[in-house]
Amino acid sequence: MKIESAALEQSAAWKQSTAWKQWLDQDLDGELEAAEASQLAKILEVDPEARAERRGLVALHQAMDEDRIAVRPGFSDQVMEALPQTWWERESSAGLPRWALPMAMMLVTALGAALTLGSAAEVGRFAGLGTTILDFMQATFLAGSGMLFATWRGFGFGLETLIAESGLNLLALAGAVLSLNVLFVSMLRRRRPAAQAAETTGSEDS
Amino acid sequence: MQPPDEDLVASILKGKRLLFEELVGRYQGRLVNYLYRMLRNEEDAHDLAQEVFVKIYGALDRFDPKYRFSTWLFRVAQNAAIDKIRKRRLKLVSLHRPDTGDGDSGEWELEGQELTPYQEARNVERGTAIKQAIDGLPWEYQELISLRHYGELSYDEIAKMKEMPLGTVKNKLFRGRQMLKERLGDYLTD
Repeated sequence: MKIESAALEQSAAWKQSTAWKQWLDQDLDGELEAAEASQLAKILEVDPEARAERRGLVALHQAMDEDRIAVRPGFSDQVMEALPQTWWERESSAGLPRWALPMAMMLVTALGAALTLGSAAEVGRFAGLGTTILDFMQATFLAGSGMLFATWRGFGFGLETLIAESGLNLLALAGAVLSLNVLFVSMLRRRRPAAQAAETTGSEDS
Repeated sequence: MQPPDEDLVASILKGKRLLFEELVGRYQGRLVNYLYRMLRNEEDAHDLAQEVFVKIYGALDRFDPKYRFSTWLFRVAQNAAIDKIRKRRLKLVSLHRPDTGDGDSGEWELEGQELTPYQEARNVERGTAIKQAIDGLPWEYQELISLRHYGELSYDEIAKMKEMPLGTVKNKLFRGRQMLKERLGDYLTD
């Protein structure tokens, strides 16, 4: 009796706030904290108005459940059949990561060069092979640096001539450099993950 | 215990394509019903749900595990549904035929729209009343009720998806349901 009157008092105090109906709502959604849910259960036991309100909400939930449709049979099979083949599937079916092919090509080239040039080495077979690979890499490096140097030198010379001709050329060049930077930054921005992009734009993935 | 969605996604990306069927199984009912509420047409809801799953699969490598799979899926679905509704509106044409001068003007003849027994059974008074009541709600309430009730998203997922404070989601859901209760009144006392 004492417990019931305490619950009634609690119920009266609780209903003075506007949140009590929200508790009922959240309880039916399974979103009420455990402590609040047990408090609510006690109040429902003694308060007919709260019970009536809850019945109305339950009826609403049931009515909305009746408005559901069944998924047509074979739906998931249709989805699976319609899936495209993606790059990660191609990769995993080949059993090789994406960088494997270029790496293999480099190794084959290096090995081929070593075998071709290494046959002429005077030292022991394996030492000759190693020396030849080093020589080959050194030669490649030197050739590459030379070409790069020549290219940049030529480029620098061209620019110098262009800028010296008029101030307008200098302005145009500055504009071109600025545009390239803007383009670069916008390309970096576009590489956001799809989830983030889909959550911030209305058209992505839709 | 079922593996979380995000773990399934990671396995799929390692080449286990068939695991995607598990994800489809988890979400198909919720997604189809959510889209049905948005599009009001069973056929369209199924077709669009299929499109959404296919689109999601193609973009799985860009899925950021920081986000929940469910909120991503429903956001993509929502955008797809909105696009579909927009296109539908553009396709709306007048039913009046142009007068060709042969006295045969009037309305285009439409194919008979007979309901199947299943549709007839569904088309009960209460179901119609619920549809009308939900359709009559302001858009923001409709949307949240659909996400919660038909998409079965938690309050937290809805808050993240709609970028709303949790308290706002709770309030709007509550107010939307109160409006529905008032509008449906008699139908709920059966």
